[in-house]
Amino acid sequence: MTTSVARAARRNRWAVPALVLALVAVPFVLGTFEVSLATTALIFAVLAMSLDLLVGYTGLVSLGHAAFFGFGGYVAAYTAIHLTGNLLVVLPVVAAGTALLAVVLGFLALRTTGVYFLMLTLAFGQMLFGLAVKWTPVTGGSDGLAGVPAPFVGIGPMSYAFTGRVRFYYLVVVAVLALGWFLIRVVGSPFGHALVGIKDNEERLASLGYDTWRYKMAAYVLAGVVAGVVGALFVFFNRHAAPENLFWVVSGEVLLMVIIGGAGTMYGPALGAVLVRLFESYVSSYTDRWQTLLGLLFVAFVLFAPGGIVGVIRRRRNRGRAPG
Amino acid sequence: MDALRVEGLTRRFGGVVAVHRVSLDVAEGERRAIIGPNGAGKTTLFNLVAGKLSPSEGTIRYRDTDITGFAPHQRARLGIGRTFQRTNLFPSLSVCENIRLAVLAQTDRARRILVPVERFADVEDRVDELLDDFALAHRATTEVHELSYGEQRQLEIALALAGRPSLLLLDEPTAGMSPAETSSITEIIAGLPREVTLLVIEHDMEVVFTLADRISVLHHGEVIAEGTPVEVRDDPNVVEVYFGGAG
Repeated sequence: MTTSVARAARRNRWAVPALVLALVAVPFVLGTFEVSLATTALIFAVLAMSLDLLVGYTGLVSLGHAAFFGFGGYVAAYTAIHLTGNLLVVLPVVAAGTALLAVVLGFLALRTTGVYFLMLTLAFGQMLFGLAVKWTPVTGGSDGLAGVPAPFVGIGPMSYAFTGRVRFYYLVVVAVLALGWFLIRVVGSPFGHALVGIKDNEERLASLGYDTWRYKMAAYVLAGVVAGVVGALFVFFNRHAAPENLFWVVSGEVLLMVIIGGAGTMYGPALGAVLVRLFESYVSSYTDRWQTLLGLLFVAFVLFAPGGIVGVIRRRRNRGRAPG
Repeated sequence: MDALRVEGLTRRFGGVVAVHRVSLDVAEGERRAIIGPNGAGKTTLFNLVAGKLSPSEGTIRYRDTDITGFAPHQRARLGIGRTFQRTNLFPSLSVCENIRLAVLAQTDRARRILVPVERFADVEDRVDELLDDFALAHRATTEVHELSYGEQRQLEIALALAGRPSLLLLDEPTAGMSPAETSSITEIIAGLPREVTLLVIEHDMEVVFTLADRISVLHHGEVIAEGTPVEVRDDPNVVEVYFGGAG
């Protein structure tokens, strides 16, 4: 049976090679500033995709995704400063740490849905932010953890360090492609369809034999781990873990990226993240009121294009296909 | 062995007793209709058997297993399937994806996270079989919100059957259907394998008399009559409830 996924894959046969080529070309064509901008945009693209696993697929609107992003960053900084900057050590530690955090938070938050889930995730995020600011001996307080060494892979003389903007950029490209591929596989799997089933109709899914609570927990942990890993990359990029990374504003911004891009797809939130990062970067150099403008952009999307960028693209495509 | 044995089942909502000391023995392979006026507690009884509600008192046994404390998904995995009175589907998925989700539910593959969902040949075979059985093959890639009401009801039953349940609870399968749709659904239900034990809530007496081996009549949460269709039809209590003293 030909599925919509298979058809979309055929139609977009050149999309992935073109994307990879464009990403590889960035440092050759653009300047240092743009490379840095592209690095953070890609990090936020995956962060938005991971949040969309909850928001757009499972129907769990979280306003606390920064908890995992920031926590992963702190774990990475702490490990890199006190143990090693070897990514083959740091990233598994980050993944295990954020998975544990997600299980604990999920155990409490997943008892609720809707606005209660949103408020609980927000509260957990703010609790972690408060902890990061107050627990100075471990977290460096409001200064955060500075002096994070450059990450590397390998052992001794056989190691490769990601020093310099361009090397780090390529590290991020590889990580983003791998994580993006992973998330796209997840949403196309039986597990991914079950998540959509939960969003659509959790009661019916349970009556078919799905233990929906476990699926929600698995989605929450997966989303948290991916957010933690890109949070670690973000900290290595800045060489600094800051409490702001845990602040609810980051959660809000990622949610905005998901909605502007189009919840319920994987490439939508990625597009949304890139767009919002570009907007912030360029508009803020012209006006201090860029946040107001971003807010207006968001309102415009919610009112006139509730499906986000992806919704607009789909509508245009369908119109093109309509007969006559 | 009874497929379903309900004993002394009571469910209260605050001060209201929706189901009062109901006992039912449904034999393996039997087709049992539950009838009664609106508000008689039929759907509450279903929700108790399917696990959506927990009883205030009483026990539910399914093939010698006490399932009173089981969650809905555990009962489903034991082989209890159900449909809902109001159509209850997955609106953002296509017809075929809806059915696939239901087929996958009873396999260990539902938890696979990196394999494309349409990769399992036996699952796809079963999906195609159900699409054919319910005359939905030409609608396979249609999103369910675009289906007609009758087609949605058909899909509703297809989902419940996907996992080959041995006990199937059908809550008003023909509600809101046209006469043509009603007879086609009735035919599908009548054509189910005889091993499948059926419990059907239905208002359409023609459907009830076509399908049911036995009928239980519920009134004010209590079973007031039980027997073959002919026995129930002639039961003075039932006549009273349905035709007399309706005020």
